[in-house]
Amino acid sequence: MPLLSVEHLTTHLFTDSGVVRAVDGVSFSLDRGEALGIVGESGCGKSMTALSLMRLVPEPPGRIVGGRVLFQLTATGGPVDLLMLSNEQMRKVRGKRLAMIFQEPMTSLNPVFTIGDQIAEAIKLHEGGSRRQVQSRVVDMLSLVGIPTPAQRANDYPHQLSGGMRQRVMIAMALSCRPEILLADEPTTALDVTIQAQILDLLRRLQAEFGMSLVLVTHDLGVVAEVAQRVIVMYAGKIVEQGTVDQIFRQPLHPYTQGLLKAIPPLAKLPPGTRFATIPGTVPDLAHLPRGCAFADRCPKVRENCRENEVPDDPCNVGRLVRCFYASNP
Amino acid sequence: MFTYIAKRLLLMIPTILGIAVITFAVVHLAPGDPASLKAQSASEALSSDRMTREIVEGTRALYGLDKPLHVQFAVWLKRIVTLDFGTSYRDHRPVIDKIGDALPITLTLNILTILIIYIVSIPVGAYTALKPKGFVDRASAILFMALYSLPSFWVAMMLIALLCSGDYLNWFPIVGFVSDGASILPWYGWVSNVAWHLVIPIACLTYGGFAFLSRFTRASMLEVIRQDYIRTARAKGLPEWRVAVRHGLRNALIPLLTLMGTLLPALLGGSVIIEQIFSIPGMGRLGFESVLARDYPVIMAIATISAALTLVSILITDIMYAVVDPRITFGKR
Repeated sequence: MPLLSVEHLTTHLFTDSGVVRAVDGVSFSLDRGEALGIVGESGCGKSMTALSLMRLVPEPPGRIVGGRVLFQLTATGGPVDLLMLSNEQMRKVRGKRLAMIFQEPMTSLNPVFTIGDQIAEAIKLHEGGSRRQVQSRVVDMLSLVGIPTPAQRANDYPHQLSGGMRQRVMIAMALSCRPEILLADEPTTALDVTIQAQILDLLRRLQAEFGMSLVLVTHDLGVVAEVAQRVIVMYAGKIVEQGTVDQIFRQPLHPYTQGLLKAIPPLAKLPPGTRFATIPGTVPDLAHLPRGCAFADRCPKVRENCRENEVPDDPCNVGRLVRCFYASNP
Repeated sequence: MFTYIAKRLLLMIPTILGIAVITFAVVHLAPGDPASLKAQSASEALSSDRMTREIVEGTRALYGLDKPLHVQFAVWLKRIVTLDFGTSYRDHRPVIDKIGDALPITLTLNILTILIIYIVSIPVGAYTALKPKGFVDRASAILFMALYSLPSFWVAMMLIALLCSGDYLNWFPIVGFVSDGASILPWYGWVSNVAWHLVIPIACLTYGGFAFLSRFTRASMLEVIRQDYIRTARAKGLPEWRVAVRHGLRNALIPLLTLMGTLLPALLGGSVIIEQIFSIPGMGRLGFESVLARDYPVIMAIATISAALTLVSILITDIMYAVVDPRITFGKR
């Protein structure tokens, strides 16, 4: 029984220029202790998927219009659909069972409260305890995420910390109530490369230590390869390919995944005159998606029926989700 | 922090001096002086030109108005440094006593007015930011803008006609701050008598203020509510009201501090129109009557004290910024 199973999750943004299908029937599952990567270009719906799981889609314009998010909340009972919970019940899940960290550590912390206060707020809310108990938990969390002299640092304000330190604080805050699932939305995108590696190490270490599941949303395939066991590739609000890290990186079957992998800049110096590989074109307007496969306009293997028929999960029977009529090795 | 405040206080001295020079010049540039005004009122009784001239010159000599302007200014400045504001030309009472009589009245009026405006506008502004385009947002916008557009002298007259005159209703007194002889009442009786007198004036002073402050709060709150840290607060599982008040409003109120800087002088200023209509002997009326009578010592005292208080309240505002926003510090850098 998976810890979390998402079925046909559909989130729309109701804008002036039409209905944007940000998340369009996404289904996946997550086991206890598993790390799942969600990758895709900007605007493919990966962040919106994570926000939908938390029920934090900005409303308006967004709204979750369909699907189920089944969470195994108790060890014995059946799974609970998070989308059916009352706001009150959902608040008890948020931050306690299901936590999230965000892309921008510079702006994700409230500038007028100390970091200690902000972490303590979550602990007090979900677990209570005396002032001293909460305070010592705060210091423990800060030292756990590798902040030196945590007792003093707890009294610092966010602007006194560097970006990497702030992201550590965000992680400490998210993990302070020992959630079963951590959603990390581009946690390293705003950081420089050496700090990125440190934060990824930290996430991996804490994931193992807490026995926690991790959903890592990123556009960085390198990050996914390093952290995740399974990968979901999203395009235009849909999952186009799903598989283990090995399958995705060694045997990508969807032309979009193949394009993404080719677009990773090589470390070796390019011979003069050659260009970086790119995927031609841009992501289609999600408010006015073409019929059939959304990737058709950019696909090197496109054929007539791609533009006519909705593509099912696995039309070529490769044994995993590859949303392409002509799935094949490159 | 301490050196910063000391530096700011020192910098105030030239500023106040400059304000004093300008006020002094403006007051003396106005046509007419106390002496000729006095002679004018007497001239109907005394037809002789010689007598009039004698009165004018006598009065001028008495108040030192015959000396050149810069000498007059120096004399005034010398006295002001020892906090001696002189006596009024009109009734020869010490200026400080006249201000001492008017100030508590205006303070009562203005503190109540500002409190009511803030207590109504900030929650309305915050709420409408959380539910933009909702019923409360639309309704309060229309209502407050309509109120804002009504001139206070007209509303004051209308309220007097409707509620005070006895033509329709006779609920409130027409004029004054307190009834004559109210001092024999016990303190609660006195307070309720004052409150009864102030209902209509305060209504006239407050209704126009809701629009600005509630829209200001709304705009500031809308800006804050889309910040990433609001999402973080929600992701913690905090209840929505706590997100709005603790994380939202706290940040949204920082820009409101700037308005606080104008609060202290506004508290003292008094509304000339409302005080005049309701015959409330406050600062607005005192200032207005002093200007009409060219009562230089009173005008100069009010101007100087307000200038000093404005500067002090700007300083307090700046210090408050550092208190509420940890990103702002003084000195060390």
